[in-house]
Amino acid sequence: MFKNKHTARILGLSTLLLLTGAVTSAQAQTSGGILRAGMQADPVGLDPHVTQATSTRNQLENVYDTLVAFDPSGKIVPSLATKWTTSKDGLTWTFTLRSGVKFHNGRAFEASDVVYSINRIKDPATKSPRSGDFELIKSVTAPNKTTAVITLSKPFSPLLSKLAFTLNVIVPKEAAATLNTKPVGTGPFSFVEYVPQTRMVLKKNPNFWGKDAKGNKLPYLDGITYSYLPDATARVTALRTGNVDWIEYVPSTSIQTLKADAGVNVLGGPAANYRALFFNVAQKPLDNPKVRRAIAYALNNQEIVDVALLGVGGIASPGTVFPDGNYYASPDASYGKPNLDKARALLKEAGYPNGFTLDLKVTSTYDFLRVPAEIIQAQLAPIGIKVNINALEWSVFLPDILAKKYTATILGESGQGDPDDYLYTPFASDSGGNLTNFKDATIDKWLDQGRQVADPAARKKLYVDVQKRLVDLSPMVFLYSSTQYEAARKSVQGYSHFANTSYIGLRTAWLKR
Amino acid sequence: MTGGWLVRRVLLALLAAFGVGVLVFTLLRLIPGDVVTQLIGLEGNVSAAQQAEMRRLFGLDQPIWMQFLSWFGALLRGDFGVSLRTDRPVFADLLLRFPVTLQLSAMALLFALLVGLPLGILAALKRGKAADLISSSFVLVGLAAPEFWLAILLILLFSLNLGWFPPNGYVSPGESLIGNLRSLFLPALALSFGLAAATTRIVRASLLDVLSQDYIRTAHAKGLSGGSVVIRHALRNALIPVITVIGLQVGNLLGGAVIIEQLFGLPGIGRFALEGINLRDYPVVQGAVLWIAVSYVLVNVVVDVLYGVIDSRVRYS
Repeated sequence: MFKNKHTARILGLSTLLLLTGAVTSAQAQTSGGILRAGMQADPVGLDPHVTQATSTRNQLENVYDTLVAFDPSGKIVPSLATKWTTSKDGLTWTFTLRSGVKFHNGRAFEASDVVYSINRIKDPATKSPRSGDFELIKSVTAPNKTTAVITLSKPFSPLLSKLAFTLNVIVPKEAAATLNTKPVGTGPFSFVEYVPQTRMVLKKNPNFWGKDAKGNKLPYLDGITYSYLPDATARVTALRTGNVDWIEYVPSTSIQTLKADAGVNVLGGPAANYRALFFNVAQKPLDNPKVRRAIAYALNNQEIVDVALLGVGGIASPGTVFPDGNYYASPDASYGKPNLDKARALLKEAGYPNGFTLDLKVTSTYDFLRVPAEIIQAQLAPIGIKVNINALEWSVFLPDILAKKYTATILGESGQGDPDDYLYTPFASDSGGNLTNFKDATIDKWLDQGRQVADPAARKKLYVDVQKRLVDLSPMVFLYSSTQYEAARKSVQGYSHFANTSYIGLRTAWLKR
Repeated sequence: MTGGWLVRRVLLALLAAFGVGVLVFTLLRLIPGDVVTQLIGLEGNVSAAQQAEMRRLFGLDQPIWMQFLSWFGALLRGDFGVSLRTDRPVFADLLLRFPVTLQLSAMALLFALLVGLPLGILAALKRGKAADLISSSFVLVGLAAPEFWLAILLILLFSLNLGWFPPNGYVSPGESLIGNLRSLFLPALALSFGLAAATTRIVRASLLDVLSQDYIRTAHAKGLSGGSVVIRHALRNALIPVITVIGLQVGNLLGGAVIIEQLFGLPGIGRFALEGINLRDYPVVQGAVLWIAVSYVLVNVVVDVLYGVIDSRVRYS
């Protein structure tokens, strides 16, 4: 009964929308409105340079700008820099900066702000968790007000993707001391207020430099009000009742419900994260690549997606860290489809014909990381591997994993845009993000070469080889790449989903009256 | 009641708070991980040397007793410290959040008393009758049903289907008083179920006990009306255990209802402490737990004072 009443109410509402739409459609409305956005979590501090938190990044990436930016397909496009050149040896990068850009405090943006911002992230006193992004930058200089020159100590082709990452933003020096309470940027929205665990208010920056393809000024919205709804069900309910216009992180369990709701659009799809079964390759018997490959042959990725993620929370992995459709991806159609004979044969060759006991340490905090453990337990039983699952709360789990105190675990990692993000951090032997103790001289060599080559086709060739060798050596078994969904009331127009968990798409959104 | 008693109670309360402070300070540092590991997460690109430098800058490289002394020293000067992740003063954030928790608790208590008192009295007077049976069923459900589940049912009914109340979000009274009451109505209602059930049960039991006393028979024998006997003579004496139980529950409520605050997106003390714990934000957790401990102890002092007000036989010296 309630369901019908509800449907009737929604129908009434949409009729009303249609009617008002008809009145105003004489003059097609393409801008305006204050978007009420329901967010999962508060920002972890407001200073983008001192945090790694996605929540801070997502809520402030429209307050700030980066030197260069990603477009929705992941390509690098101009932002505060309009063009750039690289010296022959790949060590000197010269950026031409956009002129006429103003910070929200009224001061004109200039090259010294680029110098200051990059040095601020690099400075240990800033305590930036991303100082490593700019490790290879030897110096940044500003020969004049519209030119910034970055000098590297070693060629580093992923530099642009690091500069495009929306926490590595350009800040004004005079506001740096108070950025944690009052953000000041050059972005399309300026900061108004933040009330912890209640809301953050942004308003349109009328002086924003950005324009759409037709030359209309961006942004279209008059403002954004973020509210914090940590509970996923509560967030979905808030959207369905019209209390908010847009929500992030739609849980897999709600996607069907929301798709059936006439007042709501579900937006999204593949995200930049992959989830894998990680092995600590320093431990027996996982030090033997044959054992690891045997486990890969025993797993059924589609079953994991169907059972643990209800079929919508991920895309079964074809043996690569890259998301579906990425230019650098080298998918293997046979990966993740069980071949128990091969698995048993490899185990026998490795000297474990009857299997062994595997300790699997997972986090209980996220279902999408815990539930696959139970399925893997069942999938490995036929080849004689007995899996012991130990599930821990995230903040207890994480330090153990970082200290490599585990045998096997299920984790996710993500890249931001450059193939180097996806491959270097987890697999290079000297990388701080290498959690598996994996060490392979050939892969190290290829990854190093990949950083020095700028041509995409040449890089792709190297990275395809890396991916193939990673499947052979299996320091991880790739399980699935994640999906990410936002959902919005039908009144929200012009929003585009970015695959790398970025809400830059709000710059072109507006609300239909 | 003399001032000396009150001073002693408050001093004891401070001692208890100090004990809680030492305990939370130590326990926090026994949990694996610190603010640096939590800030960096899995994807942070930070070398071991830089991590050590971050720890030094956060003051986490100091011996624990030094860290304790500097925290406690600042506390004595009224300084709760600054959040490691937001740089905001902990005390200011506590002051911002306490009114939400206080109002939520007060509303939940009000709802609970509005239901629990009459229902308990009714059940005692109609002992063994239908009203008693209905009341004990309510008690059973109220005590057994988890509040987050009740909350979800309330949201489904009152927000999604009827649209009477917002499903979540907080409006401060300064913005809109009506909006404020609407935003806290459902969470307070969800919280009040358990409290109302407990109140009903203790009122019934306590009143039954008093009603069987000799002086009640005497009062009836004097020819007093039934209502007068119950209200003037029985209820007043029956309220002492009721106040004890409610006092303890209010103490709990003031510690913040973590789940309800999460579910309804309310900026209360419980959610503040929870986020602090997740990020190992030591000053925040220490400040919040201390605050909760002090409010709990203060509520108990108030309860003791109330005994004297309600029952003139109770005297403190």
